[in-house]
Amino acid sequence: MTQFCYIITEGVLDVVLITQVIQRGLGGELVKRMHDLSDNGRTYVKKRFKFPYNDDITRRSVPMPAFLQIGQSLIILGNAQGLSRIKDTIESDQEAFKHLDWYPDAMAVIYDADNQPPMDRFSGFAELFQPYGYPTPTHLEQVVRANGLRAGLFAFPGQGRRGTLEDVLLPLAVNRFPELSQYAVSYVDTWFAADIAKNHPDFKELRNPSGVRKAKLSALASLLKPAKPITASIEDQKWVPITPEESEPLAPLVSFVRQLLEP
Amino acid sequence: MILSELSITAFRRMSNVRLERMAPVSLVLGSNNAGKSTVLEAAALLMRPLEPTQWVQVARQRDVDAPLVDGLWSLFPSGAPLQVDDGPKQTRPLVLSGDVANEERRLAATALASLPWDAETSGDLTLRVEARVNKLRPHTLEFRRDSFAQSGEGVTSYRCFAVTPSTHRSTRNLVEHLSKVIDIGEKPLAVELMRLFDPEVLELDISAIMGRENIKVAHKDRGIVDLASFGDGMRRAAALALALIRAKGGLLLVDELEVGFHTSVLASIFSRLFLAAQTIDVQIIATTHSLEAIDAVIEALTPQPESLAAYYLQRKENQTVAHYYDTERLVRLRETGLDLR
Repeated sequence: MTQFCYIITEGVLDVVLITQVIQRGLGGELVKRMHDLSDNGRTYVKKRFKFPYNDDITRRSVPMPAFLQIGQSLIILGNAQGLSRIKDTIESDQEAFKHLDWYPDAMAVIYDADNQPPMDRFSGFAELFQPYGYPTPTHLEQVVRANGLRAGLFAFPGQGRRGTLEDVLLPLAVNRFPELSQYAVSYVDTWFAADIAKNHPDFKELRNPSGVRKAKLSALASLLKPAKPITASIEDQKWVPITPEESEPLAPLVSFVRQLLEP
Repeated sequence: MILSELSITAFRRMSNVRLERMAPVSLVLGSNNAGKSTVLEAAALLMRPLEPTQWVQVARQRDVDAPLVDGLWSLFPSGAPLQVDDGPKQTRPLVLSGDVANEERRLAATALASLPWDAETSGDLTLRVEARVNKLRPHTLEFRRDSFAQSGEGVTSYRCFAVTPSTHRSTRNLVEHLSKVIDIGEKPLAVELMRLFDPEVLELDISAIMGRENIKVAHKDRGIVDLASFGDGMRRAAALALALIRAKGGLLLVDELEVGFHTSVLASIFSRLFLAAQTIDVQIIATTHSLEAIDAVIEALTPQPESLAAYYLQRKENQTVAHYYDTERLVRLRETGLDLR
């Protein structure tokens, strides 16, 4: 198993899902308290995160990564707060690791393919590895290795398909809450078919490429955890099955993370 | 800009550290014991390598009360304390180099510590420093407890003054600085600079009544009062202003840039200081371990990004590594929250 693995994702929803996958599928434990981190881990947290983040006082939290422990190995699972911030977040994190003389032996970027083929974004992300000494990934979902270091890129939903994280979450929800999902899907589809949703500015975000899928998930989660973010339901209500590697939507992700952790 | 590159090959505990692409304002960052003050001392010696007073100043910068020869001895990369009971002791060479006023300059020096023939009566240790600049003949500087002598060829010395965290707390230091500023006819500039910090300052002068030397400030609100009666910030401002003027056309070294100032005024003070430095052609190298000071320097120099360089010193298995940041990168790292102290 790896000693120290660094994974950067687009957003908090990615972090929550991948955390569940690592906990359930790989026996990872979420480190919840600062004093349970190593000296380097604590210094990294102090050195790297400040409030306000990006000088924005309307965001009341800092994008703290999830720290997961598997035996002696540590995984730092970070959230860049958007696709466009991935590069700067990696730069800042790697600079912090350099100052601490504490280097991850594996690094991965996990992003959404969105409505384009995932390879379109591949080369832009692949070139982020070499400046920090990691080998450059050559194929999606395949971990490359050189000089004891590993690197990889994964694009949701996986297997080279277009789409987003929601394409993974929706089948998980259907599987876990079949009846509720039917209602949520039908409710959102009904509205989406209505003229008002097609034209009115209030429904602009519903008309985005992944808007309908996001709305279906929100509708479902709002009944499960009213007035709470969708992450609360994913965390508390076991959207991720006990054996995620046997779940079709999760299998590519589990396989990728396993490769990444394998020394 | 007088110093565009500084290499510390062997100096104190530091070896093989290179500060490239220095800027009109260079910030030296890092944790305790990383070697920030050492960089300032190395820069000072390289600017005035054959000036015994510069060696004395550098040796006394950290501890004004320590015996001079011990202070000098510690500049050399031997590491061991000075002991000559069993005969003279030779240091390993101190080697510094850099680009000074667009010319390559290399200083190599060794020191020999010994007890002179009259040691029994004088009790004095002698430290003989043999310093060589580029390929010129070696220059010998001889230091005893409170005195020095020199012989050898001259090398151009450039103006270089240091402000330490305690400079502004010594009236003697400030009087000396102001006397020199008056001597070179730059008192009006000193008053002008002080007004940047406090617009109510009207005049500065030295009084010496019955051997009690003091700096007097004519102040619009307070009348004529001792500088010492002001708070830390005003005295620190005076120390910076006076040293800045003395460094005209040269180098100002500031150890712990933030000392004496409240965090809320750092950005405005720094922008005035940097503007004044630019006007009289002074390059600044400053250390800090204050995050507020780093952010204030960035804020002050954002309109002129080419004016700032930063170096993060990291101790790594008895070696020091200097990480360089230009303004653009510095801003990006700070925006994402990285603590660069």
